[in-house]
Amino acid sequence: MMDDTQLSKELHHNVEEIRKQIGHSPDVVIRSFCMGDLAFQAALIYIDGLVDKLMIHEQVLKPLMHLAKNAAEYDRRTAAAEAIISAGEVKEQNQLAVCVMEVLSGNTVLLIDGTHTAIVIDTHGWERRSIEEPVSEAVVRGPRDGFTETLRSNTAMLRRRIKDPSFTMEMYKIGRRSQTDVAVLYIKGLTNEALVEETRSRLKQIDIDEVLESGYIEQLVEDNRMSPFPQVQNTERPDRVAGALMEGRVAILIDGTPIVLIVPVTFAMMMSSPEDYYERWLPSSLIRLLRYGAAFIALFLPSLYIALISYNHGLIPTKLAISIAAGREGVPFPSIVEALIMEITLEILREAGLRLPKPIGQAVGIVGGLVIGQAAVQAAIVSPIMVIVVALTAISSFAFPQYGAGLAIRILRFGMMMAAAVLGLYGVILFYILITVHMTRLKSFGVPYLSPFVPAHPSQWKDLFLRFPLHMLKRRPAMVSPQDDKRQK
Amino acid sequence: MQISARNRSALLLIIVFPLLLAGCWDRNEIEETGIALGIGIDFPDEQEKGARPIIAMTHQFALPNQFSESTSSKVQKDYVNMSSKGPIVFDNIRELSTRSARPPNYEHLQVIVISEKAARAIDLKNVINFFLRNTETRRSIRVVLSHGKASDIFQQQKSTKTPALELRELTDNYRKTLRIPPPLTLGNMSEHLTGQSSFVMQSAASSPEGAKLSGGAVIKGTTARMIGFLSETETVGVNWLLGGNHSNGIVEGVEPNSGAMLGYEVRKITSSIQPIVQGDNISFRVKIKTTGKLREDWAFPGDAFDADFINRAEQATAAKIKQIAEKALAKTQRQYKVDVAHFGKRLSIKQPAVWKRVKDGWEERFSRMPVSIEVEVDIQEFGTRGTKRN
Repeated sequence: MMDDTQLSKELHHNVEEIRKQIGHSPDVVIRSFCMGDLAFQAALIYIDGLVDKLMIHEQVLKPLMHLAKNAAEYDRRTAAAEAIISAGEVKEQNQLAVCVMEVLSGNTVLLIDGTHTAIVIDTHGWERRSIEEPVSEAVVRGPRDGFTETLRSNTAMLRRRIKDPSFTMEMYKIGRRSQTDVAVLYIKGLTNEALVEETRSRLKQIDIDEVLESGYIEQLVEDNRMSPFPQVQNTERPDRVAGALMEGRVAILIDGTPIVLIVPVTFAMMMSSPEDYYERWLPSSLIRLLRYGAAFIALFLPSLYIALISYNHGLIPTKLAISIAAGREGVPFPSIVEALIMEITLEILREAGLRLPKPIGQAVGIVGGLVIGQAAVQAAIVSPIMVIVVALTAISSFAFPQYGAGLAIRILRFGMMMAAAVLGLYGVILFYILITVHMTRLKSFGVPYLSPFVPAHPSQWKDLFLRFPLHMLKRRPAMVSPQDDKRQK
Repeated sequence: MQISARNRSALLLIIVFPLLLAGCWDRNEIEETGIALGIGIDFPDEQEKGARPIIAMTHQFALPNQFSESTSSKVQKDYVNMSSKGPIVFDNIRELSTRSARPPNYEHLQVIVISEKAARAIDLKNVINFFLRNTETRRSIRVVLSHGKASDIFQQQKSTKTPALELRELTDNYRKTLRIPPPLTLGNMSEHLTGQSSFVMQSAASSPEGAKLSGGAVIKGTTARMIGFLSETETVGVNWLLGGNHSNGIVEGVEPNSGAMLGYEVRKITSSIQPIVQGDNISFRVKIKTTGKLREDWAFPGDAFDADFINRAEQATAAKIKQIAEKALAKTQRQYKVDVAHFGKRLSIKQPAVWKRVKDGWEERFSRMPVSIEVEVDIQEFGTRGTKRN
């Protein structure tokens, strides 16, 4: 725990103490000066780079040095200073450790000789990235702004969308050393209290040195750590977060990352995009169905190929069977090895393309996809059908609106392929049952992962495979049991 | 019982590893199997005296490598035939293993051709027994009888198409013509044979241009052997009696007034068989109803707007149909003494008590029973031409 040493009356003593705690790093600036005519000794402490220097100069230092003339009428020295400082956010503090923390978070601490109290002035002003379009979740129709690394501007983006007075923000500091700001957002009177309490308690249980990204929080609060499925939704789209808040979910914002967490999450959410609600219902519904189809292909296609080629030939139409057999003529490997070669090649290509700068990444794609694929077929290492299967699988796995869900399917695809290689179609079905059993048991913050499929709430299916017209979606999703479930009359 | 996460994963490994050790026993890559497309069953001439009869089999396998683009563009046959001999079917198949590295796979078997000789000499129940037991062969495989040797059906000189695939497609053409009986699947055949009911099956003949389906072959249920062929016209007649298989066929009638030719295209046939029991006398009345199109008339002026003309055309067609159906009955009922249009079945449904009395030796009795045929033709359309005017 933080020690609760109080500040002393001696200015130089306080400065010494703070120096001792922060150290003599060159970015710690201690500016000693005399408060105008009052002749009080004072010191400003801040960290260069975290503060808005111009603001300190104009709104703090200048008035303190030149205007502190008739401040004698104040009974306390700090009150005098507060009257003079024209910066917006000012508070008093008399604990040493807190002062240090404030300095480290980008505030400026004003110490005045002869008083126990320090003044903390909000002078945040570090370099920040401007708001840009979200990279991982682009939409055709919809807002173009994405979250940035700055917590405050992220919350502002949400405030701009939800001007509800009951929109509540709770701040936490997580990370013993990193002291990362974490905000829990919900709408009071709408979001289920139990859910908010569950979120709070899970966040409070976290005891870790540093929180560098929301992934730390995500992994520490999720229900099942062994599951391949993400149980917390992450997004960099403010509109998606606002939408989730309005559905009665809780958002967790972490300073220093543009990725925001949403809890609880269901599988159906992973398959939907904010755009589904912006476009008219008919195209949205069709596109959603298409995504489920793509998910099916991404998960099953290679394993079905293996099962059909190695075990269940009879299920292929005769003419196709003959031409597949012709394509595989001369391929020295069984279908599982062939499929693994191609799938692993593809995963390597994808990983390589991801890390490289864009223009080179494209070159990798061309070299990998076209050259290797074509050459592998001509060298009879893989069959042409396999290339089609792999390409279709890869493209389908890009159709996920959520990267995390795509990752789960990518992992499971390999399990499915092994099951197909061992037991054929029977194995595929067994593995599918295994996945289904797991997903049925899985919960995210107490909400069943597969709801509203399981437990079945047919009344909730209006926003599942099909997105019904908006005027029919009158209720918020019941799975998060919101306090106020009416969305429209 | 609570299982800790550690134990649970250990348990999982224990379950999964034996699978990997023992798994893959059924694995058989598609290119390493011989995809059998057709099977021919023959009864060779040179049988040993006194010994058990020998059957010869022809397997037609797909030769997939000819399909692939890497081979030269020269047109080659994409199938290979292998023949074998043995006392039973399974024996024949085992013999193939001595010559082909690839195990035969029957999941894509399209058609089984049984030669006339084999069908006359061997009990068909025994011939198809292996295929019914085998899990790979489906009950939907078509069975066709061949004039001459079955192995000849699988030989084609001129076309490069695989004969088995070609024949399979031909068997489905019964929708387009009345000249071939409905296709017979292995499953149906087994039902007929175990039920000892006679039936008509498609018969194929080989020609230099490839196999051709022509007419039908009659199998007698009680002996499970072939009894004879039907000509194309007789097959048409059987099709009219069977009805219900929505054949699309053409009937040529003669318009009574002018003696001109008429072409009637069948769209729908319903035939109902009515048993009439009077004491010990059993007779049948067959009602054939058909609707269709007037396709062609050579009468002048053939005025389709004239109801009388259409009436005359209907009657002329009906007369023709009746004549054809009677011809078919004469052949099957009177000559072959078989009940291929399931008269007995109708009797057993309508008059079970009577059926019980007569079912022994039914076909012999049936061959002496009178059958009357009524035909009703309804021309619904006459195309885009009503009258002929100069």
